[in-house]
Amino acid sequence: MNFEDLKVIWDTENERPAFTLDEEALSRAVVRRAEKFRRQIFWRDWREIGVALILVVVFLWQGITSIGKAGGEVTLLGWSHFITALACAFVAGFIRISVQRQKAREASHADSIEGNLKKLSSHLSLQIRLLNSVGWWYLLPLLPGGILFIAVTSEDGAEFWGRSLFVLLLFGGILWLNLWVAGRHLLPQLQEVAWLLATLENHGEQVASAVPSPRPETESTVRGISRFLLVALILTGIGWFVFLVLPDGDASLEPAVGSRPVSESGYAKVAPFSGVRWEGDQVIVRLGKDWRRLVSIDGIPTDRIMAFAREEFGDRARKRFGEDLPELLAKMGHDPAWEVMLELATGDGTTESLKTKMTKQNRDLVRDQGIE
Amino acid sequence: MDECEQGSRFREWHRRHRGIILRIARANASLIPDQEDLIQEILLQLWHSIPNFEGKCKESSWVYRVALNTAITYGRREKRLRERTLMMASDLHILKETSQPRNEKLEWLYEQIRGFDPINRSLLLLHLDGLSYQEIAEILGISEKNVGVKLSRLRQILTQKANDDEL
Repeated sequence: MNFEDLKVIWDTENERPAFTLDEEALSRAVVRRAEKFRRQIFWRDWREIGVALILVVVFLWQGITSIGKAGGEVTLLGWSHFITALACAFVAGFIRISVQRQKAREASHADSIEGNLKKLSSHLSLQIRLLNSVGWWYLLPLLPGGILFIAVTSEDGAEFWGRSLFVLLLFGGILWLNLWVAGRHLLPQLQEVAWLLATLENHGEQVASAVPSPRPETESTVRGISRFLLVALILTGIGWFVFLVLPDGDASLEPAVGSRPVSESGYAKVAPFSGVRWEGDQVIVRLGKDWRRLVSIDGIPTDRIMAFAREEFGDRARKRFGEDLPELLAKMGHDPAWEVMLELATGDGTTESLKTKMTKQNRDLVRDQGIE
Repeated sequence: MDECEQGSRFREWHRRHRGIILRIARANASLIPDQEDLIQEILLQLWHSIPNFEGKCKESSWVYRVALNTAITYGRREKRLRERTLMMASDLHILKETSQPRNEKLEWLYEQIRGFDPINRSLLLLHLDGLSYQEIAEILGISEKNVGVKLSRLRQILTQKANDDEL
């Protein structure tokens, strides 16, 4: 038998086909698949850009709201929101531009099978590159805003490091997953396409059945994660520095025109006096250089405030009175303004009222006093 | 190109070139459900390719290109496609057996073709379908000389197998 005999056998397929197509069923299936394909493309594009845009709007809104609360001043909390919004916009833009550039690259390949394989190879290479570098273009841009947010909202060092380490572990996990997918699923596909291309381009020699390794684009997982975590730790260190400079955390709660010490964001860490001590049940506060007995705040007797504080906070009543006065008053049902009316005892047995501004500086001095 | 025009051209191509599509599907998948799924995939790709057809090459060459490209990548997705096929199998049977008796020699030939890698499989299919070296070279994107070298080797292998199996 020679090849021409085989050709004769082959031609019987055309003359007497063993199968025919049910055109109606096929037409239905193709239309259904085309519709499904359109929906998939629509949702993929929407996911890529839509989700990022929603996040940009959400973080911008948070930032703008924080400005409102701080009386027109951009606080560190506001910056953390704006930086995150910018990072989301960058990520969306990066994905979009990468896809557009890839489409332009793919369009340059010929319409042949070789061209199609080169397109596929280029597409897979891009996917692998994106997954391998996800730490740099996706996770890292989100980190500064996140760490800054943690720095300005953490109450103490333990909370800062606890939350930071959680974020670092989460990001490290995401990075590992991406590197794993690239190495485990996409790289073998790229190798297979490279092998097909080699088979197509060679001139009759047998191409080794073992798939040749293409350019090693995947960094070793450990090295990739280590590099990312090193940079992430440096950023966290900067966040720690910010946290130390702002020991009270939330800078958005500074006194400001148009805002209140008690808001949806929390309680301002402010106080109307720069020191406080107790003589029996009497509360003595420092105003400027003078120590005066405090009779009431905004008309609420001091002994009533202390009684409530003891009920609410037990042994920590005095500490909370000195360091968290807005919170204490709010829990008593009083919404203080930045300026409170202090009723102070005078030397002659009478009292005098003094409108006093609550400031963070005062509160810091009270805290440094270390009330037990 | 509006959807109506696209649909009408699609039906026309389908009618004229269904033999090509059937042969490529049979040469690339042994099981009927896989063949059905591959046919659907080829036709879907053909549908999407219609607006890109500028008439620079023969219509049949275009159909070969799209169908073979789809078949080459089919292997990579075979598992996923098979799962999908099983899901759709209940309401879709697009291949209908004709009353023609089973041709054992043709079955043997298909089996041999399926044994080659996707590139050599495509080369053999185009050659058996009677395309010239130039047409094959254009579809594959390689030189005519390369086509000649490869086909000469493939013809030898296939003939040898036929003789070994006493076809």
